[in-house]
Amino acid sequence: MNQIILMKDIRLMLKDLKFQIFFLILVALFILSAISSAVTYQNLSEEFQTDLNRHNERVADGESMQMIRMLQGNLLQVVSRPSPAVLFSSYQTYPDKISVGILFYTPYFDNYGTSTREVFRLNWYFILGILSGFFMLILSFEAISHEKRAGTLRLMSVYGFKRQMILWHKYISYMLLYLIIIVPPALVSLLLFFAMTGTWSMVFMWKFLLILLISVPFASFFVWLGTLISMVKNYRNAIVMVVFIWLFFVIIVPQSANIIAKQLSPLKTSIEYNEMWRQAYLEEYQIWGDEYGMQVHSNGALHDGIRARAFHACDEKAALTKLIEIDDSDRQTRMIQNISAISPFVQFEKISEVIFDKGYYLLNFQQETAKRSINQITNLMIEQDSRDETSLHLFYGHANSDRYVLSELGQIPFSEQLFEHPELLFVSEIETEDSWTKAMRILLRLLPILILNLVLIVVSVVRFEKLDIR
Amino acid sequence: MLIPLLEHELQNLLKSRRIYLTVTMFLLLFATVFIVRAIDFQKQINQYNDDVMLNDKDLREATNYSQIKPRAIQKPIIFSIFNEGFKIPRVITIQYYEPITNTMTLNEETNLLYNESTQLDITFLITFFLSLFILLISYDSVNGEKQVGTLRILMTYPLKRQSFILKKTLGVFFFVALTFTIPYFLSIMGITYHFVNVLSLNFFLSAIFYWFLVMLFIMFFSLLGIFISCCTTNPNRSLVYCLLVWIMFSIVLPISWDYIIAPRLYNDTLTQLSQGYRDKIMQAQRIMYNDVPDEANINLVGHMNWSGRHFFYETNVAGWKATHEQHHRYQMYIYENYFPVTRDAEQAYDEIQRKRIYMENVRNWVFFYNPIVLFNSLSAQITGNSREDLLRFLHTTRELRDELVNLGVSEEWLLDSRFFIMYELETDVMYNITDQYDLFMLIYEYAGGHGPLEDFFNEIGEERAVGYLQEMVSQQERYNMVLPRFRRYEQPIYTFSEIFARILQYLVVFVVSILVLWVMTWRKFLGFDVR
Repeated sequence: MNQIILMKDIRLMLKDLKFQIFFLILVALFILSAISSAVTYQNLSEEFQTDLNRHNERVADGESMQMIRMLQGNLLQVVSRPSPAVLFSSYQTYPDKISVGILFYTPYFDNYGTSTREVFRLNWYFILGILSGFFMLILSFEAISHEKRAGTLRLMSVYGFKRQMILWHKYISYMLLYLIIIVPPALVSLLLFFAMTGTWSMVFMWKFLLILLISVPFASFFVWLGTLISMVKNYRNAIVMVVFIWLFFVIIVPQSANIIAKQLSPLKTSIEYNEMWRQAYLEEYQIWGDEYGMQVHSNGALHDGIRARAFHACDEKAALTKLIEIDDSDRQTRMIQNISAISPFVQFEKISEVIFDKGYYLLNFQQETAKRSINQITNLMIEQDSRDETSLHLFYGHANSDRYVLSELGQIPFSEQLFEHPELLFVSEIETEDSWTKAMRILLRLLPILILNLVLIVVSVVRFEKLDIR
Repeated sequence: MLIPLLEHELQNLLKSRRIYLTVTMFLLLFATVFIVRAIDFQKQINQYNDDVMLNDKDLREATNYSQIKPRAIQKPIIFSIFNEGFKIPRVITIQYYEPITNTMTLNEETNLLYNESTQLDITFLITFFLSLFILLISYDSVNGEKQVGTLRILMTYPLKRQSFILKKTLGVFFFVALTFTIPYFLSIMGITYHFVNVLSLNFFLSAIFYWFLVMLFIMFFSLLGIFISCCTTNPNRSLVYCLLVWIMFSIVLPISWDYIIAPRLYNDTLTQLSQGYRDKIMQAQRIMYNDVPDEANINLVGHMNWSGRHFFYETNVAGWKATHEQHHRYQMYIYENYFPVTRDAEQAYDEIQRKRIYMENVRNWVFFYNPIVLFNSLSAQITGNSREDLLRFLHTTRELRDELVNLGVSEEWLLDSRFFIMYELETDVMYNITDQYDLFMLIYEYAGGHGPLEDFFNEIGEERAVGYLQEMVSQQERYNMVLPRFRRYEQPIYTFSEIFARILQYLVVFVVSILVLWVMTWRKFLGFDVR
């Protein structure tokens, strides 16, 4: 490495008005993002606390935790605890809480915080993923053309510097520049956020540093792109091209992905799904009705549990249609992701989901956790009920409705005792993957951008070798 | 003198490769966004038609009052292809006494796992892309000429400086205006041809106003680009200034306002208003459930425990007439006590919305110099999908509801006990009803009882049971109710003057800011060193 060239490049860039202005903008944005994210974090924490309090009240009131009552309604909550990750992105696109009934896995998905329809939110993702790429493009789009115009390129080749070397020095100085304009304001922003929210954590500190590191290949992609464009004859045409490429990746691709996926992988409408639910229920009801007649159609002899079983079977069939709806949504969501993955920016956000345990990445684990918890709770309830001698051990959704009639006979369909493990009904710690698997995932997502970097390097080098520098 | 210069300017522009690149990209984007939006609109129209059919079917098939769910359904606004505006679900269900505050979806696609809806429409294209493209075309229009030396030559002609600036501005303006106008009117024609059945006068009015606003928008940014070009002699520097201004106008300033300044200014007031609304709702709930006086307490006669399976339990056995009278008393109580409070709750809800509208207006005044903010806000006003239109929708629906409630009270069907018959549509299929069984179910629900039919008969005695049966038969015709007279919800049609009045104040701001910018550019160029 030739220090003279490097220093010359860096000095040149530091003097550049563009660099100075972008640096100031980035400082302002990073600080603003810390302030606005801190407000968001406070709001999310309040909502989370409200949920937690509601759960605690339910546990304390004595009746809600009666096992027979637990057979009805949504009781299990698997929620994502608000974390400093909100500084990076609000991850509002995907639900962060799931409520599920005990009997079947038919989740209801919800979000903390209101989902607004803004294209941009002020956070690190906006700065690192969207703006910094633009800035790097604008900084580097005349990397070569400027030197060519000034005649310094010719001068350097007269001094015997290899062309490749000139190019690599340019690249290194741009990347150093990137670190200069990003890292210090980012650290200030991070500390400010921690101070405002009181959430200081070394783990998150490392995570944020990691995300800064991962942003480097993305910035590098735009530096190479800018450098390549700067080799075209008319650099003013190049600027239009540059802006278009940036807009295409940042806005057109992610925004269109949503619309295109909805056309390619449409969902049924709410009424159609309801009709599916109804049909499944009625078909099953017909089968039980044909077999047991009035034992199902009216109260029958409730203690034999036939009606409870019949309704349970109907509910189960109906619940399966809900799973179809979730599968359809999942299919569409995956398609949105696959289309938008063309954009490196989207890949960057996906990587952050893995690092911070958020978004769609977390949602999958949340669902798994919910399923596992339901199994666990179910087994515990059945086990606890088996110890209750007054219970008919009818672990069915309809049990609670039949209790009053059966109580006249001195029996209850299912135990009225309080559930011994109410803490299982509110899950906020969701296990994801171990660090190695996550690292592999991140590498896999980084691969396309690394390959793109490589391609751009080769093209840039070849083009620069052939460039007429006179 | 101006026309030949303008021709010269346009010719110059047409020779530039940068222009072709820009135009091609803009057209490509316009076509993509338009096609995607039009497909989306077709889907919305299909779903709207389904909604209406479903609603009519519900009404046709209703056999008692509880099955009637009058709804106000808003037709998708065709101009939303260009400007999506403030998007809300389009259906309001009228539940006689309940407060009407929110809209809902009846028949729409909802992705359970993905919340984000896209904001890619022509308005976004204009505010975000077109503004940038105009700046990219015009950032070197003055200092670029100086750099290549043509400015000096031009200044030797007997030409006033303001004429030169005017021709520069008009050159850029006409060029961009043409680039926008051609695809715009083609797309309007396409819509007219394809969606002829859903077109209304509003669409054409919106189209004209929208076009006019875009022209103002283009004029502003053309002037801005030229102004920046006059501020520095170095085109590279003016490029940086242009990009900086663009980032500030389109991203940094609006975001700072929305996420940092506005929440701090209005959070307390909004929280207070929301609390007021919640208080009213709580008060209504207390009236409905807790504070019911004994003479109106329906639970004393027939406590209905809804099991979720179309069965009632714990229903006390009481005579038909007693139940009927009690229901009537309860309904009167609700009408006199609960209903007025829910209307207060509606007022409280409107206060929140009005505050939000006020906030949007303040935003417009704060950003009086920023056409991106103004254009966004004005286009929603023109299209008819702003927050104010949501309020208007709510108000119209409330008027319809009031009309219906008054009718129900004067004709007495709303205070009738039959209003409470909770026969779901599924019941027909579910219970395989025969006439006898149907009758049994009526007794079962109204006269109460549990256990199979025999148990019920045994419990209340055969004589009473037969009495009920006979009474039911005699009351049978009462169940063949006549549907209340519904008035169809009609979407408001705005007139030219109404739309004009809605946007007038900000339009004036827009025009004034253009004039100020023109004066600034002109003054700046007067002091520009052309050597």
